[in-house]
Amino acid sequence: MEVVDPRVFSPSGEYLAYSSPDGRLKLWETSTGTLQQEYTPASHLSATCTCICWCPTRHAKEKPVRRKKKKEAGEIDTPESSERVEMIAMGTKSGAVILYSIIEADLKTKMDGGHSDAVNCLAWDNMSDSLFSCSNDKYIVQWSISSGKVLHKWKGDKSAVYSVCLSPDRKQLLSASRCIKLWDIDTRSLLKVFIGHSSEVVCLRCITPSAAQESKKDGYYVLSSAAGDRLINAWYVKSAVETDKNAVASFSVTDEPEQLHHCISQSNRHPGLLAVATRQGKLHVFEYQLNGRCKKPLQPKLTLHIATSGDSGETPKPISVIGVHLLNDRQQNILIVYGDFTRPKFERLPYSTTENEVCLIRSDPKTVNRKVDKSITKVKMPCTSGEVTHLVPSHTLPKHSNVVKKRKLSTSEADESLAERLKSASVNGPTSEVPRTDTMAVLLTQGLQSQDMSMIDKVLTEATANVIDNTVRRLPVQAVVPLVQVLALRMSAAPNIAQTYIQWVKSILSTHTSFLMTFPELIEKLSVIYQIMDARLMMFTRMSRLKGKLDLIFSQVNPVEGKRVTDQAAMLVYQEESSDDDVDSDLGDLMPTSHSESEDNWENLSEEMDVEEVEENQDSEEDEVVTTKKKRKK
Amino acid sequence: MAASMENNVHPKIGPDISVFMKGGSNMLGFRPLFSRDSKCLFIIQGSSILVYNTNSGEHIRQLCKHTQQIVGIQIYPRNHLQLVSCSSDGTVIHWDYTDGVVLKEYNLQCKVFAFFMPFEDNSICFITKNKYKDEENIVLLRVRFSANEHREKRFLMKNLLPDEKSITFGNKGEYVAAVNGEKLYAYHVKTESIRRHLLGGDRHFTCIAAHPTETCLATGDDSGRILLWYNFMIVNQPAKSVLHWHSLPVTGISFTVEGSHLYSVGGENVLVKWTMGQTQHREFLPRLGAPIKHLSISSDSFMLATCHLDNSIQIISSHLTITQVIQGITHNHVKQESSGTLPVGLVYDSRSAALVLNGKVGHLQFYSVQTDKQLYNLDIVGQNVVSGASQNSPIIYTEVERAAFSDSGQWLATVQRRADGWSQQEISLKFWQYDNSSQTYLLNTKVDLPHMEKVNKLLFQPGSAVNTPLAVTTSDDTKFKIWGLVDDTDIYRERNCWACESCGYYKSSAATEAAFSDDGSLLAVVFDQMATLWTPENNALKVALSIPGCQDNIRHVLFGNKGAAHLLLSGTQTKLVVWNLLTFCIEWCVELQVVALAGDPMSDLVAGITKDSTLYVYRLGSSTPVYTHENVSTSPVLSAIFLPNALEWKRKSSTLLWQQTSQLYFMNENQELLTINESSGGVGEAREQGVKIEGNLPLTPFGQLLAKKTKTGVESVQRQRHVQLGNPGSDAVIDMLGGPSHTLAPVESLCLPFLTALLIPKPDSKATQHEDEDKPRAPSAEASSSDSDSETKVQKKQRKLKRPMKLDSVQRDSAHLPPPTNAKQNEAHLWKVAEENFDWLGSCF
Repeated sequence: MEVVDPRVFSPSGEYLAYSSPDGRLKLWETSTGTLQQEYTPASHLSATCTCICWCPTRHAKEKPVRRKKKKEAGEIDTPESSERVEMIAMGTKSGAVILYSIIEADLKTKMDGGHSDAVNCLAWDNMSDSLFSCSNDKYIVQWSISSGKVLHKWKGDKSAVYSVCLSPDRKQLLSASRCIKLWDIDTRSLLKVFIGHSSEVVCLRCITPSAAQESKKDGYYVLSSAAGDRLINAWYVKSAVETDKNAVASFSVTDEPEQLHHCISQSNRHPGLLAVATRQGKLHVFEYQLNGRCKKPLQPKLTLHIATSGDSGETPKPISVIGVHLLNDRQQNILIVYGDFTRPKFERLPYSTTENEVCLIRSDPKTVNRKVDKSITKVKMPCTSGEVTHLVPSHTLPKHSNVVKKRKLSTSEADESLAERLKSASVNGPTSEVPRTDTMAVLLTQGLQSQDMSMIDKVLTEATANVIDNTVRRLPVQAVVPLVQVLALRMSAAPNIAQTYIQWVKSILSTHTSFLMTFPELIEKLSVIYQIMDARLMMFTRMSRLKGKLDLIFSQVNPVEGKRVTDQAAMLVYQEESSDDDVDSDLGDLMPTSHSESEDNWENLSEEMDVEEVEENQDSEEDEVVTTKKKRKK
Repeated sequence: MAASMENNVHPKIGPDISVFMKGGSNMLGFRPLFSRDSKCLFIIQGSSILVYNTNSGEHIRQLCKHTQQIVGIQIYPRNHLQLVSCSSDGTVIHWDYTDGVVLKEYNLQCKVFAFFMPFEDNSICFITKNKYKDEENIVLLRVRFSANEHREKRFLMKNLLPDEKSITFGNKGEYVAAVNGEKLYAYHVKTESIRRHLLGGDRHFTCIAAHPTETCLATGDDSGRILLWYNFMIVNQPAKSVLHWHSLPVTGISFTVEGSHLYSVGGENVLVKWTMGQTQHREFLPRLGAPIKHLSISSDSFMLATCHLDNSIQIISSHLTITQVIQGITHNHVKQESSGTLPVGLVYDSRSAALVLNGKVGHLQFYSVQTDKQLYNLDIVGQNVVSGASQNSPIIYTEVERAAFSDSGQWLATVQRRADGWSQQEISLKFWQYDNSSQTYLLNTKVDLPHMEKVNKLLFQPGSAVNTPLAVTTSDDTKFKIWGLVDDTDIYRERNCWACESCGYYKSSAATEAAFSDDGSLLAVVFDQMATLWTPENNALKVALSIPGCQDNIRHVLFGNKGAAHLLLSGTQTKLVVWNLLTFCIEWCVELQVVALAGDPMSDLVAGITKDSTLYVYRLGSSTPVYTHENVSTSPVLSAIFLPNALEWKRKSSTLLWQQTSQLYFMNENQELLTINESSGGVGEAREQGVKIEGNLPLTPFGQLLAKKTKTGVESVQRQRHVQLGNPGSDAVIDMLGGPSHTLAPVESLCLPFLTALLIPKPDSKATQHEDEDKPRAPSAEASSSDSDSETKVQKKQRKLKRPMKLDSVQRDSAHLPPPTNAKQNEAHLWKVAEENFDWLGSCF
């Protein structure tokens, strides 16, 4: 039998535990896909792990009480996701069972002395402090978790026992080798044997019935899968002995199942789901109703493949689904793991049966750059390097400008006739006379109809104000809206040369107002133009303010030649009494008369002050000279 | 996780219904503490202590017994498995932290600000307020417990700060040093002497730490300097050395246990590791995410814990690598006036089933309520966070102000803004698409200046078909804009992007709130006092509603869901008004000062939280509240949201029936996420009930060599330590022989110093030795033995003593050492020799 590396989701789907063949235990957080813990045991503890089992939540003890209440309300008992799992039990190849504490990120205890060969499966019963294990050595062992001792040990079969599973009431135990056996836990007596699989049964899952169903029936369903078998069988186990020994239903898969997970129906609206990951990496999802026999094998409602896109000429490669967990939540999300265990990828998919066969296109985790994010801090960088559309206020449409330009190039070179037509249109008098506007209107209409950008371009850019008005007036109404759209596109694509287009828009709006008012799709078609105008206007106050400021600055930088210069000259020659009058008169010419007086006063004052200062300076200079002279004398 | 504990923060109101804190509780009040084996980290969170595993970063348990804020935790010096905690009301509790059991509890009968256990005995020290000579003073007291629980209080210091970082205990409680403002006090416990030093230069101390072995102090000040103080107990002008790297105030200093390194932290988000003795050599761990408030070091110096202002604690190894981050909800520590504490509010992402809110600056954080874990912080603005130049001129950051998710969670829209008040605002609207194959958000469209003013609301149209989603933004620039997904495909690629479809305004008043109806067919936009209804597809105004006789602006608007889709709820500062959209009449109106309003997407319920923190839950059909709850929060509530339950039906008691499909969460000014739930009879106790598992791990090969229990009859030999270098007496010989012979002092005066120099000084502290110097050391016994004999003896002894000294320095074999009793006798004998009268020697020369 081929051994599969054990990988198990925690009951709430919060973590995925995986043990690699070299004995390392890895724990991923499924919501973020981060490797939360990696435990490499010390050499004396290392052992190849053969199976993993999560500890049921601690609050399980309260549950029986709750369930009674819930029976009346008709509600379901499912583990609450907020409860935390704290332990993992691992069975090893040597026959020991190891308990690993997630909280302490360390081994808690090693339970020895039960098995002499590899442990195949574990079942945890927190309520009675016991753990069941089965092994290749044909025995089933009941351990006491708290003390780590073997409570009971009995022979399960003549060959290796591959799987154990507890019944929902925790009073019975199912074990599987070639056949499935039902044991009473207290007496360890064999109650029943189920036969159906032709090969070794490797996996047993007990469907915990919802409270509503539990109240009606006294039995429960068990799912089983066998090595090399493409059928998953469902068995009905009833406490009464007389039930038949054959499977009540079966699910057919295309391949040997590798991991299966089921969830019970939350309400009557949804059926229960069974998800199976096959060895080839496909995912099958079945719907089931637990209502007795079903002759035909059930077919999957949803089959899911994952493959690479094969964009760059490569053939698409399949990516295998390596684990599945049904999150029993509102959208019935399916949590899948794909890729390989060196770099697993987690994804949540809402369950929907609109398509029977779904193929997801995903990049191969192997080829994605292997930069392992080692950082502990939980900061994610979104991808901003891809193609991003950048919009600014006057440019609120996606950039079509590239497209326009490219097309223009190709068409202008290819279509010689258009250029000829244009030339012929403007042949009448390109230099002196006003071009014939009727030709422009026709050309424009033709250009709009044929979406000939170069033709439109020619018309739009080469027209003068007068021509625009005439052209627009003669334009047929059918062409008005397309023209507006073309204008809008051009304005948003090249805001810097929008000046000419605005002339057109203005002319259209004034000429064809009545038509536009009656146009039913007015808002949709003209909103772009409105936005552009709005955005341009938005800057108007600021721009005019800036312009004013710039004007002021430039007027300071480049002084107005002429009188200004003269008055500056006058300022310089203040000491000459005679020239003062000239200055005043000059100033009087420049300034309004009302201000001249005060201006004069101010100037006079300043002159006086200046003069005084100068005198003082002279005095001090003289003093200095005197002192230096004195010094020299000395 | 910090948030994983549900602790009852408010007294019960209903029979068993109370407000629970889900996450975001403040962990920064006090320094965290490592257990002696460094396996656990204790964090003070209000009135409880959180125990975390340092290895896995997982929350182990919570110790709750205190009723008041805990002000200090210490490891009990006599038993390292015990934790002692003290709360502000003076209650001291001894815990067994491995089991979470209270061992002892007593009260100090006074208000406590900080609490220490620095001494090897069981005495405790605490900072309290005291009346000292008729004036209130903050003092340090020491309480000793004698055998019969008798307490002896002693006053140690006064003029302190009520801050645990302002005080330190050096050399196992030999001295206490405290800082306050620009003063440094050092108090010697034994001699009860106190010395005061000043910092000067208009600087103020921020923290202090004592060297574990030497008499050395490290202080940090607000200019970013670290000063190392030496011989501060002896002289008035102690020797200081300056370590200056920080540019912001130093907030934490810690020596390693050996004293070989010094760690310091500050507001720069950098951990600095100084090597003592060669302080020019430093190592840095930069970009730690947020300014650091505290620093703690484990007793083996292998681990450091840094407390960050964003409410996270990082565990850093001594190699300066981050090993674990303990984080609940990231707090917004940059309080920018322009955007407030929680500008985004609470948003729900259905794809990851996470609550989305502001996280780090410029980030959105995703917080899973189901697992009580922060998923991640998503960097929206993509700008490096620079730490502030100084506290007076804060840096203005770009902050995410609005965020919205489309129904499917495929699209995320964000609005970020940077407004420094004097330059043009930087606003941009970003549309992110979730890419399934790479499992990340891809930026699809970035719109610069979508509006000229602050964007008030950002919404996606609910219930819209997948291929034509719409988004709406409202702004203070009097407009609202509707954005649609347009096809931007060309021959090179297939692509779609977002573009503005239409723009609406009403009477040139600012567009504030907006809401979509349940099916997305109607859009309500509020313009000051008017609520207007539009059809989003063609942007046509349907109707404008105003509240008659009300001049207040409408602050909230909300459509009814499910059964109440025809009702529109609007709230002003004082009123809640419900319109019927079929008749355009006011259905009902109540006077309520609502600050946060949330509608249940699964039912017709709305929840409003008022200014005085009272919760009202209404069914939109009637004006009588379904549920009221007073005092849901201690600080103002900022935002509320209904989150759909993971399971379709959750059993609720009759009073909480309204939370059957969705659970109400709300966040307050302290950034605590709160919810209302049944208290299920001691969640904490249930946690402790788990099966105790006996640890039974096989031993390592070396471990197997050790016996489980060892007992030995060998008497332990007490080693003598001789701390002396060089030849004993060499100084005396140099003194004697160095000078010219004619200046040589009389031999009798030289003899005593020569002989004493040959003796090994007593290993006592220097102070006592100096004091005792003048007293005769040896017992006043008579002189014995003959003269010449004595001298040779001394020489012999000297030789003898030399040998063990060498051996000791090599630390090889203790057997060669003379037994301690012998040594003492010899020493006494030697002292006798030294005491003799050496006058006779004069006759020899």
